[in-house]
Amino acid sequence: MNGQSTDAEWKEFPALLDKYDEMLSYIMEMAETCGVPMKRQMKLQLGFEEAVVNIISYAYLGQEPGNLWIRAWKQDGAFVIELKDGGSQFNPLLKEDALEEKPKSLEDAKIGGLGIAFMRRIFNEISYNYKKEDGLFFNHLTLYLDISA
Amino acid sequence: MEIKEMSHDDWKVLALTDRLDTQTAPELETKGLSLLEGNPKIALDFAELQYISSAGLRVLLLLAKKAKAAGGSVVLTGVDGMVKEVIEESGIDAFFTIYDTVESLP
Repeated sequence: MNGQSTDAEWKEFPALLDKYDEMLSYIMEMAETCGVPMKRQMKLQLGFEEAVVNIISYAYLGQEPGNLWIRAWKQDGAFVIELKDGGSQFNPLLKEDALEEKPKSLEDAKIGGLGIAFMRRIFNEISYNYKKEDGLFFNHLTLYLDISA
Repeated sequence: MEIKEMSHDDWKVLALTDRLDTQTAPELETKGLSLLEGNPKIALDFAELQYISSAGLRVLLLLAKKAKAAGGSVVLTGVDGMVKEVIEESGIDAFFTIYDTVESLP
């Protein structure tokens, strides 16, 4: 599933929380067009929210706010979402799995890292790379949701 | 999301509709914290809630910790569907008493 040959167009959003609703509407429209079954749409929303909010919250931390680019397409029985930002390099796949060990007490329970852990469970495959385009570096996170079954 | 405030015996009930996500969680945080100042027994009714994300779970934990510190508690009612799955998967269900309905609160 890893080939990223697509002519899907990027849609640009300011990486701001108050733009999240617009991003969600865009991706749900694309999901509808690509035939993502209704029963998978709730989990898709959760995985998408966790991935996008993580970028909005941290990619441009301590820098001028930048943009987040989103594109989506259907490929080999999967709905594919690619997210791109020009913020700090961050590979969510290297983060510890926050769901591996359940919290032992209310005082111990923390939500940090939970969003990424949900994202990793919802998508069937995730790939990350950090690459140079026109002299600038960008994070690319590609999320594959199986919609064949 | 809409938050309806009700009373049931000595419980203050906040009934949530639609989505508890990144955009709506701050509203629950503000409302819950202000309610806890007067009454540390709060029930959050999720019967009409369709969706929750980690932003919502964070507020649940925050309210539960504050309530516990004040000698009270936060309980949940009407937890079902996707909301139930996410709460259980996170493991934080262990820290909440869950009742079927608002009417079944003790």
